[in-house]
Amino acid sequence: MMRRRAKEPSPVARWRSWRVRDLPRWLGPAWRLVRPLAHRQLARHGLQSAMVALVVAGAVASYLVMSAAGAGAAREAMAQVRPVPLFADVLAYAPGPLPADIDRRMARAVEIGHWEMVAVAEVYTASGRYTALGLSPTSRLLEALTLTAGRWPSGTPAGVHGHAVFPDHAVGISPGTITSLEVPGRHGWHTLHVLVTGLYRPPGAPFSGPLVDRETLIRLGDPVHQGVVGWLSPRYRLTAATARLARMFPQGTVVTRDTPGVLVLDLTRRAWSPVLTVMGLVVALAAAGLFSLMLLSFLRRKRYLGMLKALGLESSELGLLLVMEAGLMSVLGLITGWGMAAGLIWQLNRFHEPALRLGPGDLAASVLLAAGVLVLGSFIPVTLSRRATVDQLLHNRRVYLSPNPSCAQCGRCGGF
Amino acid sequence: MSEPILKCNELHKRFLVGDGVDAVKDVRLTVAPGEFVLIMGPSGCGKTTLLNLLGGLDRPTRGEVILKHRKFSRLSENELARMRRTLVGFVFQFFNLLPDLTAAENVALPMRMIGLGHEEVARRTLELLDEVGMVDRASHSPYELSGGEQQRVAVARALANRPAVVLADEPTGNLDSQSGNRVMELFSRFNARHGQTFVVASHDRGFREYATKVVHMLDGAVVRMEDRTGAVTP
Ligand SMILES: Nc1ncnc2c1ncn2[C@@H]1O[C@H](COP(=O)(O)OP(=O)(O)OP(=O)(O)O)[C@@H](O)[C@H]1O
Ligand SMILES: [Mg+2]
Repeated sequence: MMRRRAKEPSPVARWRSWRVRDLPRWLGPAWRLVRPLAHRQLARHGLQSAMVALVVAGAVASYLVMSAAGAGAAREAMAQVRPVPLFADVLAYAPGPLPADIDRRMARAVEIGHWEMVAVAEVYTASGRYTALGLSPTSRLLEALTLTAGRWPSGTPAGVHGHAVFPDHAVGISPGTITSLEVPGRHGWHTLHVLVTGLYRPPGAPFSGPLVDRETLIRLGDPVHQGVVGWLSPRYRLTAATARLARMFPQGTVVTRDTPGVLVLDLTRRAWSPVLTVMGLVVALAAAGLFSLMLLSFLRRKRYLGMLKALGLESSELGLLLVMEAGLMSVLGLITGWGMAAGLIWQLNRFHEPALRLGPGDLAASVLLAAGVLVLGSFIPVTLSRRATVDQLLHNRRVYLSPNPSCAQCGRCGGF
Repeated sequence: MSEPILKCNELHKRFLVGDGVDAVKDVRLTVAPGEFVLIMGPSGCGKTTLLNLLGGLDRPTRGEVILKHRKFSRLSENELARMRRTLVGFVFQFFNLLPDLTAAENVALPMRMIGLGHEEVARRTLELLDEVGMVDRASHSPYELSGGEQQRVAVARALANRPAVVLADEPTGNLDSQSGNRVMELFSRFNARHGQTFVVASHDRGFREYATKVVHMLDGAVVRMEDRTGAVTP
């Protein structure tokens, strides 16, 4: 007589039947049960735990130092920022009528270091390449100048002799208000950040990238809300602008930041930014370190874990035990990492001017980083321990990631 | 005969390695409360596999195990685990104790699993260690105990929650005959004094005297059932 064995619920069914309100009821007793076991494990295997903590600490410390150095570099750049008169053919572009209640005094030069969100499009037309920037009608980059028949009013400082594309709505930019940031190249950063809105034809020199590196600008410390008081998002205005341009230049191709090619290029550039690359490596290395040590600890303790399961520990409680062990080590590593970073930065500041500093944001990010390392590093060992049967653990047999019994007993793929 | 506490019907376990190994073949077994069952047979005959199935550590290919009216096939893995906490005590051949815990902590663990209060756990731990003669080694770690002493602590742990049945897989396999006998005597004493049910696998023929029933296995099948109270069924 064949009997149906109890069906293990599918992951979807399990997810559906799982309720948040069950969690505290489960977590309390489970926590009390496994906490002493986790503590004991760490205490008994101090060296190994210390190694794991050290790996996490290394990741946290290098992140913090790099982040502080990055912010420091940006501040350094700030100190060297100078206004650069730009481009001859510049016209700001604010499509649509200006709202009547704009405070004209707001239309001032952007102070150095202050920034505004701009959306960028390059427009290839029969008459050359233009760059369109979407901006808010209250933009501080705008100086309201009255254009007559598409000409700058007389008395406009030399160097600015643009032509109005839409004379009725155009607003000019006076030369002193156009600012660029010259950032000395460090970590291979871009050297010129253009803070300008408008429609302009780039000068003969290769176009130096109006895709403003937003992260850098944020690091420059301007409160985000300062410049932008738009009713419509710059991106929306850009869309409107490029649509009109496209109508004006039927043969033109409008390339915006959202054009797939540009998007990919942009992402690639970011991914190759050395800071990000090193960061990714650090996280990957720390996760790999935690993973291998956790896996080793799992393999070494198969019998121990099997015994716990035989005595009646549920899979989820076993998972909690391993997560708790890894979590305790990560917390230890996080705190050690903070200490290491503080020490390193203190040392660096003896030689480094201006001083590197850490903000609460950095600490928060390092917590996230440690959590990421924890998740990446412990996922597979925890899954293995949850999936393994008592028999596999107790008799030190191989354990497989797939719970499918025929897979688990075929063994061709090796297992752990 | 009274209502069986542990029962299995046509229990079959096939391992899917190579051409497949039938480790347990259609085993039928009933154990009454208070019985002391000895499972005997040569190495590889399926004793461990059978005990694993009876304790819910492994699932049979077909057949059913019923422990105190609970059909294992109806229980999920987690329900089986919860069932083991209260109803089954295990003593294995080796690696019995959790090496990171002291003897007393090992004994206390099953009671903590079912959520007994601190005082009660402490009191019962001492009681149990006393019964197996290990009170003075309560705070020792397993590394500091001899094999026989470890097994005695394991016996105390297996009995901690007064399980319906204690399953022991070659509990004396690693011990010299004197320590082995001591462990068996402990079983026997708990069996007599508390009416605890035992199912013990062993190849030591000398242990037959402790049993009320001896099950002889060969190549996964039960070949002979010997009722030590008298009758022999072929
Ligand atoms: N997980 C497994 N995978 C494959 N075959 C197994 C597995 N477990 C046991 N077997 C096989 O099942 C048979 C019975 O094994 P089992 O361990 O139950 O024997 P045993 O009677 O306990 O032997 P011993 O007295 O040596 O402990 C053996 O042939 C063994 O090779
Ligand atoms: Mg065996």
